[in-house]
Amino acid sequence: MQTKHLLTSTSIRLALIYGGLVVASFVLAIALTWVAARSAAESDLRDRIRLEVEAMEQEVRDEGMAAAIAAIEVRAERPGALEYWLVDGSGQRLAGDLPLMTTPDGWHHIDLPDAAAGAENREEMLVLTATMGDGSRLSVGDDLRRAEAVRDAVLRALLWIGSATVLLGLVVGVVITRRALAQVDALTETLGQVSAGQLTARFAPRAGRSANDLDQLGLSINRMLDHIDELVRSLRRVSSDVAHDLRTPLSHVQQRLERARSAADADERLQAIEAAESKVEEVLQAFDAILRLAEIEAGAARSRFVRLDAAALVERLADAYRPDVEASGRTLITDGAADVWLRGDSELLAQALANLIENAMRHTPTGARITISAHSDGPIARIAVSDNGPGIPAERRVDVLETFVQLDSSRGSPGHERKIKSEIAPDSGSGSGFGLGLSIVAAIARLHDAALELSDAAPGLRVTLTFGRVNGQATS
Amino acid sequence: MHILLVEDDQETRDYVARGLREEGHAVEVAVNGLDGLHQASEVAFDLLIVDRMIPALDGISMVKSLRAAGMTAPVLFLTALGAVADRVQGLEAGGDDYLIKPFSFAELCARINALSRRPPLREEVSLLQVGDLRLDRLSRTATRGDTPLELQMREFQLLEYLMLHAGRVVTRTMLLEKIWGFQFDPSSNIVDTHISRIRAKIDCGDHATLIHTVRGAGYVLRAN
Repeated sequence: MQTKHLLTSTSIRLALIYGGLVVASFVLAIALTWVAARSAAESDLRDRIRLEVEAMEQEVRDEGMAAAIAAIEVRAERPGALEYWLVDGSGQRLAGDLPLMTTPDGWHHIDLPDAAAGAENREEMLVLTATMGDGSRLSVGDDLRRAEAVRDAVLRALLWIGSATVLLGLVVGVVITRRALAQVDALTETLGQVSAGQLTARFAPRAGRSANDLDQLGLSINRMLDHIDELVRSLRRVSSDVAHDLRTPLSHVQQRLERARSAADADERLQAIEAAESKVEEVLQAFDAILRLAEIEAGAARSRFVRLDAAALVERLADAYRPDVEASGRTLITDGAADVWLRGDSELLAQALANLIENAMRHTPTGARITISAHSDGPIARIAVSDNGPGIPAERRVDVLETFVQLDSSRGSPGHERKIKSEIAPDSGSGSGFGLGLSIVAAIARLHDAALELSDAAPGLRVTLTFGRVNGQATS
Repeated sequence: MHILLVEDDQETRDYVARGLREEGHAVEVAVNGLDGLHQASEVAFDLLIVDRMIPALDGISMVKSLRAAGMTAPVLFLTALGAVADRVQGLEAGGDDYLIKPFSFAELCARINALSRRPPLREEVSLLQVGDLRLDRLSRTATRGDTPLELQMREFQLLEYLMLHAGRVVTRTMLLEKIWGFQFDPSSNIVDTHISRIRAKIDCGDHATLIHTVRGAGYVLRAN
């Protein structure tokens, strides 16, 4: 669970960083708002004050000083009114109670102690002073902070909203992180099991939901594990095949070499050495077959698949094998249409056909007829090798197919294995190794997603490879 | 021929070098890819025999470098890697042939002879003749003495290949590759059967045998 802890702390750190970023950006937003609100409030106030000063100048010009003084007295009494200070040319107060000495013309910021609130609470006055036509001077101003009260209210609201947003974000973040973490934990646990050697462990995606990124990741990991599992199995199979298939002929080699050493004369020695050589040849063939099997099962050949004419392939194989088959007293004929197209590796398919022809030669009596055929049926292509030999009884075919497809599983029980093999490959000593040839056929079929079937050729055995099926049952 | 053998396994190196010297070749050896690269850069060899998995610089990279530097001598790769992909890789890197371990010495000699450029293969010659066996590559006919031979297409190709390599050993695997395009080794002796058919046709009557079996290696077409 240490991994879980680490993962969790990583996620929390990410959540905190994210939360911090949100808070920081919010603080920045508030600061900008504050500055903007302050300058907006001040410029509003300036507009108001300027208009007021202009209105008063107008009043003085049009109605005279006395009317203006009366107007100021009235205006100053209104709620929320500006403050005024009107002096004549000699500086005597005419109206207003803005408590300040006359300032020069223009805008001023002036700090005043607030009479009501005491010395600490100072007012920050914004004042505009102007000289009228008759030499009197009017100052109009207001406490800036009164305008700022609105701004403060906005700020407070913003702070509340901000806090709520951050809090909500954190809660939602924690919930989502937790849910994701549960999936991450499931993945971690699966991978932990695999690391501990349990190669069959798989990630289970959440049921009943559409797959999210982590589910997809999990499924990808599952696919990767499937492939690794397959490779490991194949590797194990190869190792056990090597041990099984090479030990026996190697011990034969040893026996023959020992016989050569103790041979009575040169002729006998030569014979023993030749026998040993032919056994070595067998070992090498078995070895090749095993390696070839592993190569096929690794699936790399798929990338070399091309569209090829199975009919031409069949002709090529028949052409190569006919003299050999005929020399053995059997006949080899081809049957089928021209132009049977399928996607595959011609080298491997040639090998599969060669193995099937050799197998047919091994299990039919002299005089038998071996037929290779290629047919197409819409998108489906079939290649078959059949003979008119004794065939395999229906109830045994499944077993035999089993040895085709999964030779390794029967290897666990030597008795069973030999029994089946003796039926399908009685003289396993010759040829591409101990029934391995048929495993190669099965592996090549699997690589091509082709179905491998044994059927009754009435009489005889027919082995059919069916290509181009799209449904999943094609492989066995 | 002046041959460079690049092979790290001492046993194989000694065995192959000794055998080739007995065959009359001048053999120099290198034990790793860098040595091989240096030696092949300094001396113009007639043929390189290169193991694929050698220390310092692998065989593929070594041959690629030499080819990039303009070396034209034929290269025969030796390898324990027999997968088709490995073979393709070897040939793409500039190898001319590929021999999988374990191999018989006879097979190696046959491949070396096939690769040697002296005398050059008479690929462009239309009329081939060995003894009183004649083969016309244009009209696709063959005669032994005055007797025309009835050859099927594949038999003609086989005979043509043997005549092009007259006097040189041609192995079963070479024939499987060149005539049928099989990269695998069938367990049946399909090559032998084809050869005996051709033999029956061309060695008919009281003519001397032309196609000789070379024990443990293959065949050679030769007029004594």
